[in-house]
Amino acid sequence: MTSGLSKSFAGRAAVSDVTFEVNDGEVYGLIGPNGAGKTTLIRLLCGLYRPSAGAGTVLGLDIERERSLIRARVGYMSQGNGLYGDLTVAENLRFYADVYGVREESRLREVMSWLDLGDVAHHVVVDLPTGLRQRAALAAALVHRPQMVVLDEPTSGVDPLARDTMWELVRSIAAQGVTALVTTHVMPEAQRCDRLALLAESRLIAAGTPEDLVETSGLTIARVDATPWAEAFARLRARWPDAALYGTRVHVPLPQGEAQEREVRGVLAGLEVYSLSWQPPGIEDAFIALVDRAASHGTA
Amino acid sequence: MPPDGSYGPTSTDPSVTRSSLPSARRRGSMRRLRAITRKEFIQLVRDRRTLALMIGMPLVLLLIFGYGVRLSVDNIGVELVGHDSPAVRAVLSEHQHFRVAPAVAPTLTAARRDLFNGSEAVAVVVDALGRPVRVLIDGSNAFVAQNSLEYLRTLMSSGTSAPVEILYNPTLRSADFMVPAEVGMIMLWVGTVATAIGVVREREQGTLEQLMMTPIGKLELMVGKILPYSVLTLLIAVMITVLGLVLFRVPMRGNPIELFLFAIPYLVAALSIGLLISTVAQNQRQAMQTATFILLPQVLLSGALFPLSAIPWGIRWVSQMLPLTYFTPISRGMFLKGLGFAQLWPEVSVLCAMALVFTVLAALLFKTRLD
Repeated sequence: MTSGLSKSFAGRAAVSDVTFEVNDGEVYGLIGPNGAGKTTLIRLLCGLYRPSAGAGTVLGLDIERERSLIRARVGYMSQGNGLYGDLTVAENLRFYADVYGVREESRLREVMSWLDLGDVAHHVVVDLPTGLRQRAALAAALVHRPQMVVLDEPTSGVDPLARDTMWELVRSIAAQGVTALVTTHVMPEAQRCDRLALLAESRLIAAGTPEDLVETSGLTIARVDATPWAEAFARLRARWPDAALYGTRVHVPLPQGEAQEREVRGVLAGLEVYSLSWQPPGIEDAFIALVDRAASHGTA
Repeated sequence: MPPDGSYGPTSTDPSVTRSSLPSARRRGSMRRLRAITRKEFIQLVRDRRTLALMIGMPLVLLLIFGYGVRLSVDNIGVELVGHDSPAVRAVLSEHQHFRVAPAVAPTLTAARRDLFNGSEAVAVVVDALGRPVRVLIDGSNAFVAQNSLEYLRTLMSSGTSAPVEILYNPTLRSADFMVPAEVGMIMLWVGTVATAIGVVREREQGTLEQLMMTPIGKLELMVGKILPYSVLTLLIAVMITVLGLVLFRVPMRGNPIELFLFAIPYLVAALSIGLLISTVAQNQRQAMQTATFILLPQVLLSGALFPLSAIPWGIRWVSQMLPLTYFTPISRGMFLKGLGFAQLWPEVSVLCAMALVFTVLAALLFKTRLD
């Protein structure tokens, strides 16, 4: 979908040399810390920025030359939500329906009942809680039956329950054959994507399914129960700064390898170790490891 | 969870396919225009405070200019110096212009002190024969000084001067002079500020980014945003005119419908300036500051308050680039003299040209991308 796409502002790269591809009907996540270039990348894809270098297509349409066609087929939900705060939900949807040339009145009711917005249809948007506001913005992005939706941080500032609802909606959109490109910096959410691209400091550092990313991180997590736990944590942390405390149990992300168990036990010598077990890393551990690795490659 | 098939087929609208028909596109365009205009109207009506300000401010200005601001000055303090003279007193007191102090200043030094501390603005030295021989005027307020000089000239030379007849505004009423100019100033203010703020607010809220991702064209967006503000501005202009006629009995000697028509190119020029401001301002505060920066010189240099002939040639060219400079003679000419297109076509033509140039410029500078 893109190859070597780059964008810089006043000489500072915001997106450098990003190449990735999204399949039809999949939920594709762009993840990475704030400032990694996620928003810039999707704005490039939507034709809101002119690329500094590289090229890309969205739904087979060129992002430079055919952006008016892209606009008509893509539903876009910007980070700023994109709804008019002083208008009601229904007024906002009507506005976007008119703008996109949607003629059937029934489509508005359809979208509203699908996203369960019937009760708040005549509420002014600023009065709604963030979760509902985001859901209304999603409705506005869907009103013209786009072939693809681009959602920039749809769950930012949303409570966990509403966040779950939002992801269920995204999955149900994809289930109907609509491609969804979603950005997020909340790592557990990344697991709900079919595939992911990891961005850090303007570069794409890894891409694949969540399992792939965990795999390529080459990490394993040691779970240590020892007493006194504070002493165990202090020692492990001194040796591996990424060690973290979960209750009284210490998690140590380590590169996969044979000698790890011996080394951990060595550090804990003299303490009473109840259990030492191994588990695969979470997406967040994998992400941190991949970003660190990319950073050290970058400086090497 | 959605019921099966609720999503429906994707993007079947004929206006969005590659082989779209021109007529379908035009219909879509009208729809989009209507959508934006309707949205702007809802927002305008719902934003009570801004609406109240837009209607209230012109009213307050009308009252200030109509009742408060006087271009003629009355009750200027005068004292006689040296000797008293009933004859001079009588001449000075003939009109409301002067208020003659009952006491006579003994010396010129005493008179200078009175002017210095501001208790009097004019001192007339009278000789032993009761004749005025010398006049001192406090020039620190040039406005008062000029008026005093003018009055004194006519009073002192009474009997010798040729008869003067003042046409069109025989009593030289300030309201007659100010209200027609105010119509122009208010239209400029409301039109420019409302448009600038209207676009910048979309940028600030992030809805402009959303709009850029819709099929809305640049022109549709601009026209759709401008239309509601044009209606508002014209309504306010009509309100000011009617109040001027009723409250201040300003004459309307020309054809009001003609004036209304001439106001349209002027309005378009003002709104385009607002759009131009919105292309450079990033937030509402900047938009307000830029608008003030552009509007204040415009009011000062246009001849609406001070005559154009008082503006030195070096900066007269600035005046000639300002729409208000051309609307003021149109407005005054129609209110007071009953002029029409036959006399005013040069000004009307310039306004039409300005409206065109500013609109094209705004359309060129208005970006449909974020970078």
